[in-house]
Amino acid sequence: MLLKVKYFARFRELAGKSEEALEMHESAMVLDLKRLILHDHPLLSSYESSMIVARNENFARDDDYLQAGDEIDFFPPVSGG
Amino acid sequence: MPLARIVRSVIHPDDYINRIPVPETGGLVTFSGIVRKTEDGRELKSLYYEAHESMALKKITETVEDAIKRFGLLDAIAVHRIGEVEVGETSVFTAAASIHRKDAFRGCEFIIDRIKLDCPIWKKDIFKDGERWRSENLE
Repeated sequence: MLLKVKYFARFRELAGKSEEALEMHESAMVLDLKRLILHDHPLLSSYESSMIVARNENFARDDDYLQAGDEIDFFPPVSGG
Repeated sequence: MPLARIVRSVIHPDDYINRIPVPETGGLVTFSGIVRKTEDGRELKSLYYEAHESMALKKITETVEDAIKRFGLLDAIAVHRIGEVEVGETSVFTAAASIHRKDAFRGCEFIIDRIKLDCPIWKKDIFKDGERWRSENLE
């Protein structure tokens, strides 16, 4: 299944892109996608434990299942204000 | 009516304060987050703010609505600027109006604290001699 993946703030700079389309196997979970992007973008590794993930604009957990067409956003801890 | 905005231009608090309901309001508390000139002893030129805009706006909207319910406010406002914000300019503005002052103080603090805690907005320090993303809100 095809997913739309977006990166924000420092993650965008470390990944070298703001978004990409990634193919995942059916029944993949957020954790599977996280492993894939960490493999593809090793500079993100230092953020593995603090990485925040949103699925279709709602905060997601590692064991959430993905569906074709999902938009998955990866970003670092927030620092607004 | 609560107001939540993400803007790219200069924030003028008076533009928002003027909508506070009178004569019902007895207390109005406002907070302006302003870009200061130093960070960790280094001289800042500006702060660059980036947001997940749709998520951030949703979160800010939920926050002002929540503040109105929790503290019985008459009105609440939260405006966050994104893009480059120069030293001395306002990056975020929050306001709470209530019948009595205590609810307005608590409501205004609640709104800015919540925005800093879990709103998907990030800032980058633009120093005169370099730049770095702020990793998290430690203040």
